[in-house]
Amino acid sequence: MIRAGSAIWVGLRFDGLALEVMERHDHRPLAIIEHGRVQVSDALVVEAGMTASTAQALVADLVVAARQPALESQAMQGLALWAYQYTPAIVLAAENTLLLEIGSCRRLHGNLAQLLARMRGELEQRGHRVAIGLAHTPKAAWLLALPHPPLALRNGSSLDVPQLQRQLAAVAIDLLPIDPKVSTRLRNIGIESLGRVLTFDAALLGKRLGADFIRYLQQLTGHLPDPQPFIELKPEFEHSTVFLDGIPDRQMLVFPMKRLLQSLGDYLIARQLHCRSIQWLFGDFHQIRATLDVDLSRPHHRWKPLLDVSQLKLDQVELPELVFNLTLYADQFVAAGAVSQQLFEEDTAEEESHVLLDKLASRLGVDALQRLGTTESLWPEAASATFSVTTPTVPAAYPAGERPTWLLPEPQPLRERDRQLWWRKRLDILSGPERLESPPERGHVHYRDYFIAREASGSICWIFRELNSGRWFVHGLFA
Amino acid sequence: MSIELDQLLRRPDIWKPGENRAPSKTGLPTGFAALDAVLRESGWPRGALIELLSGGAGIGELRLLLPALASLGARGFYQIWIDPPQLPYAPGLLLRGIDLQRLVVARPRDHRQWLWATEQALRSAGCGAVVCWTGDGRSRYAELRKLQVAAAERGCLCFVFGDLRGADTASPAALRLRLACEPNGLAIDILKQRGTQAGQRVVLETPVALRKQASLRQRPVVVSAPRRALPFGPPSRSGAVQQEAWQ
Repeated sequence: MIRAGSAIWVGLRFDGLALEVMERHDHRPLAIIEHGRVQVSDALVVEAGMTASTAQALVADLVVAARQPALESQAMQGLALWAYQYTPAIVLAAENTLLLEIGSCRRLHGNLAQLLARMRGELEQRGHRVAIGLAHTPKAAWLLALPHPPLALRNGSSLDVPQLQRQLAAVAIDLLPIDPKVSTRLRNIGIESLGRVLTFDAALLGKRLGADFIRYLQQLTGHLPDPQPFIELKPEFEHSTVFLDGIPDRQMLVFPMKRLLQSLGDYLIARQLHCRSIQWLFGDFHQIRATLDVDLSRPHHRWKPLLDVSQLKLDQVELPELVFNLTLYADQFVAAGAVSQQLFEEDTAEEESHVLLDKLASRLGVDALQRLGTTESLWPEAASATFSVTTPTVPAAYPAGERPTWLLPEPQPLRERDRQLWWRKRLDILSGPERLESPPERGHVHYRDYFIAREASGSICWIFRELNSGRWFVHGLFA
Repeated sequence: MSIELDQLLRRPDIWKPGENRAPSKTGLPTGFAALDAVLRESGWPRGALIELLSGGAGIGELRLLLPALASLGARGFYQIWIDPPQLPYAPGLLLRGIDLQRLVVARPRDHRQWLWATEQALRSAGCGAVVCWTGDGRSRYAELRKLQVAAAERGCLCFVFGDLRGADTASPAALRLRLACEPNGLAIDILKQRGTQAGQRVVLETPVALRKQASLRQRPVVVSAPRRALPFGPPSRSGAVQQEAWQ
């Protein structure tokens, strides 16, 4: 009765999301309340559907908080970004469920059971509890990700048709996302499970229960196509975290910052982008109180370097006394090219050096770091230039002749005594001259004849004679 | 307990007296055969502090490091120079094979920043060598020890330039050299070398490239050599120098 197509749908259901989006820094149990009743709680004795006062009577230090739909939907967006590494076909379904179609890219990821285990592991690392359903249609995958019984029937990693059939057959009518009137009518005629419904003739059922329900059943079993609205990515990235009690300490911000940067990393990989700079916004209850801009020496897509630099810069920000809201914003991107994630990771030496430069720049200041390059000019003072460390490549043109490794800030005059040159000690010319011409300055051109000379101490110097004046100078050292 | 001791003794920065380690070739060749011959690892020891003490800058101390630094750059490693006493001159470095794309000069504001930056660079996997100048010439033993530990973490080369005045104080450096200028080149005295004896002296002659400039006439920038005798030069060699200039 189930028609198995080539599509493979994974339903990922996040029932603890309402809890997971709440950032807390103590370990008191928490209950999320919606319409006066507990929706979810991490206290064992507190069950969904209890009133808030019952729950508080059961657990003395229970923290009660209202559900935050905005945060939950943002977290779902973040999870969708994470899922982009597996497939671009992602649907945000009802009740905090993601539906991924992985049939078309299954070969990329190998064994189905391994893939699901990997997804579960990654989600747990991010602090998410997930229930997984696997089926040939999106509606069936959604149903099988429900956390309710019959758990015993599910193993979640098989696409065996008879087994899927058994799993779906066991789903209670109450759980179907259909018009409540229809489920009442079904119960009234003694049908409690989906399995019973599926044994009836569709045309017969249609007359009594309506065309919508029949379409639902046919899409569920794969007899009718079920086009899905796949999500599209926003052009900018903005994610927030809200803290229930307020964060009094910078160090305690690091973990939530890491979480936000991880989702930024997912976003960048999904869109094949690197980001050039990020912005942190720190708010109290009412508004944004402080911002922190983090510029990178080179566009990045990995969260770890971003966290290192953000952490270093955090000391420079004047934060509100208690931080209730932390937002990460990024909209400065460059295309990363169509490179897979694995390829990115290989370039570690280069990547690590940029992490180092970002660290140094954030503590010492960008001005404290320089790159050296050459210019087109042959005139010694102009032939070398310093560049900001953010310059991707510095010009490096080979000089025409031998050049020293230190250049003095200013040429220093030499003394002449008894037809002998002196700087700190006596100088003997070793080789030269090389004549260099200055760039024209108000119509005048200067000439210098450069020689290499050895000081009596043994230092090798770069000296020149100004042609106009005949005076001698030392200009550099072959250190 | 004994396992911990074993691990401790296996660390490369622990020297066991009486143990005569066979010379290994794990060092990075210095580019000078005479110097490699007296170094225990046949080159600059990796992951260890190398202290270079000299009476002043500009005596040939960079020439000593540049061949090794150039070989690191060629293999894609960055090098960080921390607080050099003068402005390094890019054309001269380029001529000696330094990859300018992978050279960064850092100017920390104070000694604390200096120490922090040096340590960070040593601990980074992207950094092949750190060359730093201690400024006042004196770093405390504990600070150098910290750098030694940081360098050992990744096997980064760590050159610390210091002042001769520090030569008689103890140092945690694995290799300690005194550099002095001599009329015919750079004299290197090995003051300390971990795991083997010290006291050797090597003199590296001034490279030929600096003693004699080849094919001046082919360079477009040279307009012409002056049409008169050079006024200055050593009496014994002035004839030869003139010839090179005139030809």
